[in-house]
Amino acid sequence: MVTVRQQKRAFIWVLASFWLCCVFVLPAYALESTNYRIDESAISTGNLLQSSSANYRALEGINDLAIGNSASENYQVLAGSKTDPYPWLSFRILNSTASFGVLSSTTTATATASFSVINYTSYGYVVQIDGSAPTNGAHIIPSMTTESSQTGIEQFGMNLVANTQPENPLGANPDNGQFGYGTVQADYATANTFSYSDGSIIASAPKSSGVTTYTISYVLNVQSLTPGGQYNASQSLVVTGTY
Amino acid sequence: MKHHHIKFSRILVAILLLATIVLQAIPQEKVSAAAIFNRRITLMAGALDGGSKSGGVVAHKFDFTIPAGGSAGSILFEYCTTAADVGMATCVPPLGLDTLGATLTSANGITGMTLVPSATSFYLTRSPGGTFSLAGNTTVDYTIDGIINPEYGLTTPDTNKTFFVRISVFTSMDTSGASLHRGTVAASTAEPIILDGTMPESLVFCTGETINMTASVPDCSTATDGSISFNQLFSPITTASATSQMAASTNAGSGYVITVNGPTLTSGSNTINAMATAGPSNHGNSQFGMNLVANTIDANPIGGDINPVSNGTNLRGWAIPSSGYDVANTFKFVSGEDIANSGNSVLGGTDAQIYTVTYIANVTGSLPAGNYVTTLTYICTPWF
Repeated sequence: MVTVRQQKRAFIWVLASFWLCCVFVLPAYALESTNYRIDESAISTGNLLQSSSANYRALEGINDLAIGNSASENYQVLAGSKTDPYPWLSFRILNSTASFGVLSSTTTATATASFSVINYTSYGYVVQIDGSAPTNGAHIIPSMTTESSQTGIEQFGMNLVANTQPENPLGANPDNGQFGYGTVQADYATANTFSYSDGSIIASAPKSSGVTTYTISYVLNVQSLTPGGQYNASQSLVVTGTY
Repeated sequence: MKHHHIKFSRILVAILLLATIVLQAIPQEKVSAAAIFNRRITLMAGALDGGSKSGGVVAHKFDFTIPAGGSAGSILFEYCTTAADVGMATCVPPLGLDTLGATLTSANGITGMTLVPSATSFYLTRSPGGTFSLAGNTTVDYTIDGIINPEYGLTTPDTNKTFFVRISVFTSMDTSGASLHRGTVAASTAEPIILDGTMPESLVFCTGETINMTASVPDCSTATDGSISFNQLFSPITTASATSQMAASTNAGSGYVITVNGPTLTSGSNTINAMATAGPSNHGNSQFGMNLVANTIDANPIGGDINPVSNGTNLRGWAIPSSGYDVANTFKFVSGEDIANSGNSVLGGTDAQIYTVTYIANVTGSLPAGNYVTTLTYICTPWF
């Protein structure tokens, strides 16, 4: 006679066997790394990862329990059902024209520009600035090296933080929102101190980062002998992510 | 009957467990290519354009590490609007991207590569050499010049566009067959930041009988009236003298030049001779002349040198050397002639300095009596 208890036990054995098969036999490359990695797993009550047809692609999530980026010094988790395994870099110049107006040897001319960076599934990014200091023909305004603004001498510099000199306020600290990890390089990170070096790295993030909005504060000083005319500079910002 | 069911279940369990153990012993092959890691693309400035300029002719530098396994015969770089194919969608090249002019300018890691370009992709091939054995992780970098960045438009947001480069390593020399290793990098074009400021062209010039300093700086607002009388009545046995002052500063890149314009001293139809060549003051001769330096006339000091003294950097004014107006006790007057400029060391901008002009008048004993007058105009011309 087979009791009900024996039947249940047999059923459990069958289920356990299937479970073992699934766990040990099916390749699970989403969970791998030297130490550990969870890639494209959804912890939520619903998920439609990368629904697509020939003409559209959608990343959808339903009732996520938690979304966003959690990180400490040694680990980082991108949570939510809309995470993507592919690299993503979004770079936006939010304010591209910085006008100093009419220059004077008795006041400091200032201007600001701003940009934002998002970099995803990366080992971080760096932002580099390329271009010369403002020039007028052959005359170029000398660049500053971590120094304060001083009227009456020729100076051109910038930083990416909030300042109180030569204007209060001038510029802003980086806005990392909830999930940004952007930081400013040392030469450009001290309030009221300005630098400029063509090709230098001005900002970076050590890991995958949500949107960070940076504000560049420029200062320009001239002397009374600074040749008259239009002073121009075209600067390119280049963001390089490592994946 | 139920007994048979239980036996069957136990046999099924045994088979499944056995299958589990056997399958675990069989090495599992990944169906996907191994990932290229530590990969990045750096947009580098071209001859005229910044690296991230939309539509700019620039260089793209690729750095990445190819994992061990197999041999590399070619590496494909495919520019797309998405990181990977999704569903039926395949690589769509970014608008405006052009890699036809791509050239390989630097190669490290796996060398001996030749670049084969096409419109929106290119590949590096080891042909005609052999494949490169990927015995271990191989770090490479390649710099490609002559790539035209994607360009969706001339204004934001079109100038800020993300694009992807899919990198695939093939065993074949021409990227045929299945890829061995793959990875994607992302980059973005960006609007250049335009800085702009205007330095006003500046010239401050004034004349008067006297001009004073304010806080050690010549101050044109203190210039007095320009009507000047000689220090005495004209006489054939002494020299009459007078002084006036003028101040000038400019930021003109090539500095300024000052000319003196006007007739000699005149009374009706009678004149005192202008000193056409530089010379000393001589009593009893008909002479009208001037200079811009300190003098001693009839044992009396008169006039003065330029103040502040020129230093060749921010103070460049001087009486033009060898002009005849630059030597003490030597005088000259030729209308329209250049008498001073800001050329001390080199013609250029200068801060304000005060010139003192010394005039002399000598007359003959027969000079008709009368009031002798002249109006002199000084013109300061900056050269921007």
